[in-house]
Amino acid sequence: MMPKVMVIDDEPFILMMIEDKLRRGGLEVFTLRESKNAVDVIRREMPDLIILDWMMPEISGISICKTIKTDPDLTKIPVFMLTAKGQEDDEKLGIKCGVDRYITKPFSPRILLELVREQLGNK
Amino acid sequence: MFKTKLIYKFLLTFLIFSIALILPLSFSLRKDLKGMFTDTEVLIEKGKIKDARAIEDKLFKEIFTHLISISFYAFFLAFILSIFFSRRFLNPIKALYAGAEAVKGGNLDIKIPVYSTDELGEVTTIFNEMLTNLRAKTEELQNKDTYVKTMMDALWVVDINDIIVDINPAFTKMFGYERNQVAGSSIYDFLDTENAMIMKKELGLKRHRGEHSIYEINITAKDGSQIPVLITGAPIIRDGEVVGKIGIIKDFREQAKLVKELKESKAYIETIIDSIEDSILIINHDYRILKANVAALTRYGNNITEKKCHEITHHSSRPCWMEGEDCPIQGVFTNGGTWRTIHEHYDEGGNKCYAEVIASPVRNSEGKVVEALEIMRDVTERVRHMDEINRRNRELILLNSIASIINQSIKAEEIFSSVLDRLMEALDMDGGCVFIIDEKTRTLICSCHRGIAEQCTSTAVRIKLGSDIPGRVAVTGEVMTSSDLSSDSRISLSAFKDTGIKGYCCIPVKGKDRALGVYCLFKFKEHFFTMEEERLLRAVGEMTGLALENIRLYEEMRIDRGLAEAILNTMSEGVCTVDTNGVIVSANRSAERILGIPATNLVGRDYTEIFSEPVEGDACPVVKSLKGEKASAEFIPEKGKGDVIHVSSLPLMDPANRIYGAVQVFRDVTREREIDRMKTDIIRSVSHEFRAPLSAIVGLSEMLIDGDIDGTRARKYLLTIYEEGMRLSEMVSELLSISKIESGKESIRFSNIDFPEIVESVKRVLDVPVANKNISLLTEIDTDIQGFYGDRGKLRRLLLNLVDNAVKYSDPGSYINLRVRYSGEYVILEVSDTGWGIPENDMANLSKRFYRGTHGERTKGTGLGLALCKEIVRIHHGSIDIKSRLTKGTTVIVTLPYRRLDDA
Repeated sequence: MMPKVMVIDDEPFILMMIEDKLRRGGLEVFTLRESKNAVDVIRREMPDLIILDWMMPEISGISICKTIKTDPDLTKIPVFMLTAKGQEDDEKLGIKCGVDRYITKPFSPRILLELVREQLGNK
Repeated sequence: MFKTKLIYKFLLTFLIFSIALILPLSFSLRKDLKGMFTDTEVLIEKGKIKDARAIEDKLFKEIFTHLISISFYAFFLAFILSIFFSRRFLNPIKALYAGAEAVKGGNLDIKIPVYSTDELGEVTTIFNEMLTNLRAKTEELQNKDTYVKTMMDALWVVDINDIIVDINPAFTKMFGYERNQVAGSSIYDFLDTENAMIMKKELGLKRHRGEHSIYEINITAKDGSQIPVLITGAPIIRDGEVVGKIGIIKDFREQAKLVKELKESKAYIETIIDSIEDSILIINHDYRILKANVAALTRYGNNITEKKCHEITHHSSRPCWMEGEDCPIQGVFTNGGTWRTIHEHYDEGGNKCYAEVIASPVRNSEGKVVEALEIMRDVTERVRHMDEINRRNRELILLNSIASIINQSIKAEEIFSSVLDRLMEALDMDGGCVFIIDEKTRTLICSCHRGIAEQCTSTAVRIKLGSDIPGRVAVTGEVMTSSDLSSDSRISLSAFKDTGIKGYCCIPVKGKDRALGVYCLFKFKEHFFTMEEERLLRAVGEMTGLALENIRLYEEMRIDRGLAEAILNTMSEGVCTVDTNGVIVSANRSAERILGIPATNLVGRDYTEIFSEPVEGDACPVVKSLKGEKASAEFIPEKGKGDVIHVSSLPLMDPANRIYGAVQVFRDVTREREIDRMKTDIIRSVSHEFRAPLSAIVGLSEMLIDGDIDGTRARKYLLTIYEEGMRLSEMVSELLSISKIESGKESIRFSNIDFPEIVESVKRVLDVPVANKNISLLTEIDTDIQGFYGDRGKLRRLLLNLVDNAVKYSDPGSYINLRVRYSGEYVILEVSDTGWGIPENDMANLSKRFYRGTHGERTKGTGLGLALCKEIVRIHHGSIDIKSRLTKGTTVIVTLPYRRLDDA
């Protein structure tokens, strides 16, 4: 069974880009444009990895991350934070909230794929 | 007269007994005789007896025989009886005898009973009286003996040959000899040779004259020691003849010790007195010197004793009596106490000198002043110094008063006239005048005058430099004096010569490099100006000159200072100075403005009160710069508008490099800090906001390059890259336009505004997002707005941004209302929505660049929109007002003053 990666971002082109890249990399990709019901969807889908945008309307990526990491059922799911917030403090905050990998925008889809593979391989 | 009462008694007793015995006997004898006669008669009758004679004889014989025997018998019996009955008459005799025996035995304490009043009774009485007297006498003697025995002083009794007859116990106690060891010895046995001689002399001189004698002598005690004693000797005279001598011997050991000590202390005191450098004299009532110490003898001569003290000290035949020269000796004798004074004296060589005299009374045991002790110290040097000090003091007082005049005034004329007055007073001058040099005309002008008639000075009112006395003094710069001007050969012609002036003095007032004026002082009597006076006057001239010089400098400084003040007050930086304690001494106008505190409130306050906690930089720059360092810091001052103030502090140093304060220069850097913050914000925001479009461009193109994408999907990718690139470019241009407007670089193109057209354009642009969110955008435009001039492009941008914000920060299905109204002088643009509303804490920062607020994370945006709006409103001289309630919606009202083309 192919590992399932869930991508949550409000920017359609980011979703499109990541979806295309990861699919080509042989991964199952599930994208979500709205963060409102993100946690419920995660519970349902139980992905192997989650790629989150920080800044989203309704619920921010960091609060979704917090919810995942404090939920015993979800806590072991690795979370990649993909964000434009490039400040050191932001990264620190992210790591503190349980982010497994902090990737700043703009990013290389190729490297992202490698990181995802690496993360899943570790598992 | 011998009394015979005892004999009478005996005889009477004998007689009574005799009669008592003889009477019965005589009766029996008569009876016998009668019987005999009867017998005889019978015989005769009977005739037996024939012879009468014979009868008579026989009868006589018979009678005689009877009578004798009976008488003898009677007498004998009477005698026995009388003895027997008179036996008790012997009792007094017995008692007397017993008494005499008792007295003989030494008992005087008896009393013999008196049995009768006869001779024996009398004898007994006398005996008793005698006994009483004897007892009294014995008692007296015993008492005397006791006195002698209890006498503390030793006593000896010697006979005419100086043989000791008796001593008392005190003698034994004092010398250790017992009575029996001494009695019978010669008194010389107890004296050594020397003392024996003294004794012999004393006794030989006085004994025979029967005189008392008192002498001191040493007696050798039993233990061999010599005991000093005082013997009071008195002759014992019996029957008018000296039979011996009694000597009371007083222990003189203590006295001898005291005498020795007294001698020593006397010698000691004398040594002290002689070693004192002050002259000491003991003087009696007649002012005669009784005693003088070595110092006095050295000073006043060896032969001063017995002379009168005033002859010695004053060379005067009588005590001093002048005012202030009261004779202290007289004072001591009249009033008792100690007198202290300084007198003018003469030493042995007749030189005048000064002596401090302290005279104290010497009293006898009754407290009467008998002598005076005079201590005289030579204070000549001191008096001279005192005189010198006093003179100097007067000078100093004068100079000081002149200095104070100089200090109190900065007007040259005032100083000149006040100093002149003071000089006249100090030197007791009759008049004076002041000349001030007029550099232009090179003349001396009389500025004030005293004690000289107007006409006198009128001739001298203008003196050419170099002529007359003041003119010459002004040129030479030397003081010129004359004790009598009228006869002074040096001066041939002077305006002052025939004015009656005699004592004359002219003093130059010297400035730094030239004379400034001249003081003239004069007296109508001759006056010789001493060296000291000249020196003083020169000093006053110099002082005044210096003061005038200072006044000139002060004037210059005042001008300089005014200039400095003007500079300080016109500069934009705040400047204040603090003293070494950190207290603000001065502050310029900019300081007031920047700090928002009036200078009057700033001066005198502690610097730290105004600048407490630095925002940045050295904790307290003043403290640092008071240590000599340069320091700077930024503060938010206590009062003011929350502005940031940059303070740089520098130490203030005098020419000797001593720090006497610090100067603070401060600048309001609020704007600079704001710009700095904005710059940081821009960089931060730019880096953040630009990342999203860059992600698309970088990521998508990478995938294209990697060949991940092909066909139609690649086209979509390229489109996205293009769109994000455009967004990026828009952000850059928005940022640029704000910066341009802010920096005033962008020109404003005014034109008549057609609001409906602008609103339509806005609506068109936002058509897609409005439709996406299903928002109802209502517009309401007053159609009669005519002739409003403004920058069309910018006003369109304003409306676009406001409506775009309303769309962005609203939930789908919200309402947005855009109204453009005309209200008198203003055009009002109003955009209201039913969106999320703005949290209160974001309100203040709304129009800051890149500020996205709490809702910022929920939407995309540059954070530049409102900032740009604000700038646009500003260049149209309008105002922007934002009202919002969380969850209810926001209303933005822009009020633009109505402008016509000619206003623009």
